[in-house]
Amino acid sequence: MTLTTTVRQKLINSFRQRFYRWLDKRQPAAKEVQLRQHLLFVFPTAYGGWFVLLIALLYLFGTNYQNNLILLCAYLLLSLFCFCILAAFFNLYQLKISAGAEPFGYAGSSVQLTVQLHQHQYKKMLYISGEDFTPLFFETLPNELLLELYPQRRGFYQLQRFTLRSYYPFGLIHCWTHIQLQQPYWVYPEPAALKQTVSTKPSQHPDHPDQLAPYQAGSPASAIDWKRLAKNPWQPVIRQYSPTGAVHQPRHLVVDATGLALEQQLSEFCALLLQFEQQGQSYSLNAAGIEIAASHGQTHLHRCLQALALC
Amino acid sequence: MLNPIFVHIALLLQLLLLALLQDGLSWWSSLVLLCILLFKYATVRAEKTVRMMTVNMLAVLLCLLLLSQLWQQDMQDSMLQLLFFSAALRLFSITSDLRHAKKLVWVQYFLISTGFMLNQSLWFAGAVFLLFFCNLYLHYLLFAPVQRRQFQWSEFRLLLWVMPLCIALFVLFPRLPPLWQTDRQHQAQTGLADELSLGGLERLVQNDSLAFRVEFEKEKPPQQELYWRAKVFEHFNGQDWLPALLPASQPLSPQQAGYQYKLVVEPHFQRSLFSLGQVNQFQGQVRPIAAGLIESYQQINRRFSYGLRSDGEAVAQQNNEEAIRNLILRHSNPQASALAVQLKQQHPTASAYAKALYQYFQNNQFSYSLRPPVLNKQAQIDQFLFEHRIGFCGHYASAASYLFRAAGIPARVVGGYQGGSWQGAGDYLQVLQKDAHAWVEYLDQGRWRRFDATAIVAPLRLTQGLSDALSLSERQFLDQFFQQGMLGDWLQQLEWLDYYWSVWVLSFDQTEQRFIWRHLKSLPWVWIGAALLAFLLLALVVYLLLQHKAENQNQALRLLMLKRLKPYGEKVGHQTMEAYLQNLMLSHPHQSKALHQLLLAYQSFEFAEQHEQLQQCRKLLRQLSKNKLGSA
Repeated sequence: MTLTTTVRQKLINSFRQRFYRWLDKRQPAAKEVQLRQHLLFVFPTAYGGWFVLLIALLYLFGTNYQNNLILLCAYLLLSLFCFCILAAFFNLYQLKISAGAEPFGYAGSSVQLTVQLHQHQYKKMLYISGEDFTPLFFETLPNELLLELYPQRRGFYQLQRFTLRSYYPFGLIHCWTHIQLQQPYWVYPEPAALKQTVSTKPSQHPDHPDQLAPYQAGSPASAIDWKRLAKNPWQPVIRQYSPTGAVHQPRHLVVDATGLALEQQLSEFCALLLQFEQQGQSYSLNAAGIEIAASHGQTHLHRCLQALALC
Repeated sequence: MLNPIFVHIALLLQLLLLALLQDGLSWWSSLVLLCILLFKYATVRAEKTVRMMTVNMLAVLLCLLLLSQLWQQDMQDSMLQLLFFSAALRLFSITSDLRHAKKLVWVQYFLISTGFMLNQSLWFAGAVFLLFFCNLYLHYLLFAPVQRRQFQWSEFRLLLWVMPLCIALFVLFPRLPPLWQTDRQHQAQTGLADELSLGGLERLVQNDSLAFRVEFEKEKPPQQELYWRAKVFEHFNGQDWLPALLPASQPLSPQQAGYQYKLVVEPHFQRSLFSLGQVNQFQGQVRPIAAGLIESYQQINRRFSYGLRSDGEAVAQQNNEEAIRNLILRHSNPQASALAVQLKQQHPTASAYAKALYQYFQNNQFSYSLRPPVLNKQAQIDQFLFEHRIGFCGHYASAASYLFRAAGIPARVVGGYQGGSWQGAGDYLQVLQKDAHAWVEYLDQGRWRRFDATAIVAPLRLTQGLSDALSLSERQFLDQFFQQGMLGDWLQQLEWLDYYWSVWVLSFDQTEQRFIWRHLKSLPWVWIGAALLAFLLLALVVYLLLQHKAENQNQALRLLMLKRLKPYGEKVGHQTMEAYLQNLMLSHPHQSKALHQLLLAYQSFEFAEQHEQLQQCRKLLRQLSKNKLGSA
């Protein structure tokens, strides 16, 4: 019993591997994929099978009673079936899917990934499913697909091959495709709740008028004073921290823990980095042989966080 | 997600179907179905759900009921009822889940299609196809976006391809003969009776429905020759003429045939078919039987068509037994027998005797009526010939046949139809049930000659139809049955449509299919292929020319620009047109405005393909060259 199940499992696995290898050869990962003939699979559904049975029964009836009108019904259904093959195919044909920006998220929470769609005006009733995000269903397609990726461990990931399928228009024929997009995403370590000892908050008076400035395009979103924004949404205000003594000195973080402690440290560093960036301090990082010179700004922050993710 | 409108449409569809399939449902099942559907309607209105337990109980109950009725019903009707019950009960189990709805659509497809078992007339078929497409729409709703209920044009266009494909399949897909025998146990609703009693044809004659239709290939026989033989009655028991059971038949002798014709017979639930005189060849699922008649292999329970060739000759005698059998007279009518003997002495040959009989009927005030007095004596023939002298074809045929036999001449009564009316400008002959007729055939020199006493008594009956042969009061009596009304003409047109429906669609079979294939094969395919190829090439050339012309316009504009702008400065070889114009703008600041406009117009013509900008470009170029000339 167990032997047969394991053998079957193995067979299925090997078949699946071979199939994916074949798919990889057929459609290598690309930034943009347009669904063409060689990518689309078309096959009758179970209901389509029942439908064919219906046609056969009607043909039998019509033949036996020499009833031309029943035969006509059978032919009508048969030609409908043939029409469905085309319609199901055209419901996916020429749809263009392109990868968006590299998104990021934190371990333990989901990452939101957007995929652009083009030439999707007449496409309907599409199911999108993959190994690493919650399946979605669309009656009509939006311009952008927002995929909610399942929480992962920290690291640098590639969006897995995902499946696009439709049963439109009559549910008799099933058209699907397995697509590999070149769409990487980052999962940074989960930021830890900072203890007061680690925190080196300079004394500040956040509500002091000197430390507030109007929001301008490009200002870090993390610096927005949300409380004030709620009061007056038309004039966003950002906090500007006065350059006090502590801020001047660049903070230097070194990843030196190993084993279980490593994860803990990475989480803390992640939180610290976010805090430094918010406070406008410059900081540098030394992690797993990568040395990042002191600086600040969003690009720098992401470089540091990526280094942490890859530790 | 199931479209909320689905259940409503399904309910409506089933109600319509219930009305349409009345013929196949027994009264109790229609009633039960109506109740179920109304109950479903009530629950839908009240937005309640019915427990599955209740529905299952109902299903079991209905199955038991159906089983108890199984022996009294036709198998086919039971199947129809079972399907309908399952469809109606399935309505209750529909949830937002698609599973049950899918099954319902499947069953309904089947149910609607089996409706054609009941009736195949054009109007019924139209209604059934309407329901069929309604079900198709239901099917579409299952898998379509919930908000949108309409087909989109793009889908509709694709769906249009379904029709030609369907027709092509219908015409060209190979057809098989029936796989197993299917006899429908139905009582005869119309058609010929199995026996000819004095008074039997009366019921038939008042029936205005269609019996069969005939299309002649070339030559059409005259009206008085249109005697459609269907049955031969050889056994007389004193009151009724009964058919003798005769399996023997002779192979047909293919000869030069005078008439070639095709018949479409309405269902009459018998095997007898109609033919004119001696049949020489036949076509379709029919076979010749004794007495020169034609029979189908199965009961005619749907419209049926076959083709025949026959000459105008009388039917040949098949064997000696036939003659002996048709001399037997078991019941005596003494007066008639005496008359026969007397006439026979005066006219020894059969043909002379027949002439004498015609004269006898002519000279003794016989008259034609559909309401003759009842024959109540033991010797019915005597009572008819010497007391009443009034009757219709059955009486005359019966009496004449008796007189022939009494004189020692083999004779028999033939039942069938006489005449018919030409429809659609003489395209085809329509024979109604009221054209039913009976006449006599007597043996003379190896052939069964026709003797029709009615032709003497009421000659108009043959040449102009029944109603002309009758007196006014008789006609009024008939008119109760044949209401023509205002719509008569229009109905005639519809009849005509129905005829071609049955000829082209209902009776389309292997023979015609083979004919089409032969025709297709004989087409000059080489020429058609060549013509198609030539057409494609021509289309390609035209397309390329158009393309070239479009390209040419751009080229011409560029040349024009170079020519007109030459006074301002030469274009360097590798420079793009835009860069050239930019340069000119810098070197000729006072013309820069016009040049800028030109640049914009040129760009929108060349790249955005705005063809109206071409005029703008030309105008600006003219203006620019004029300016330069002026300043020079």
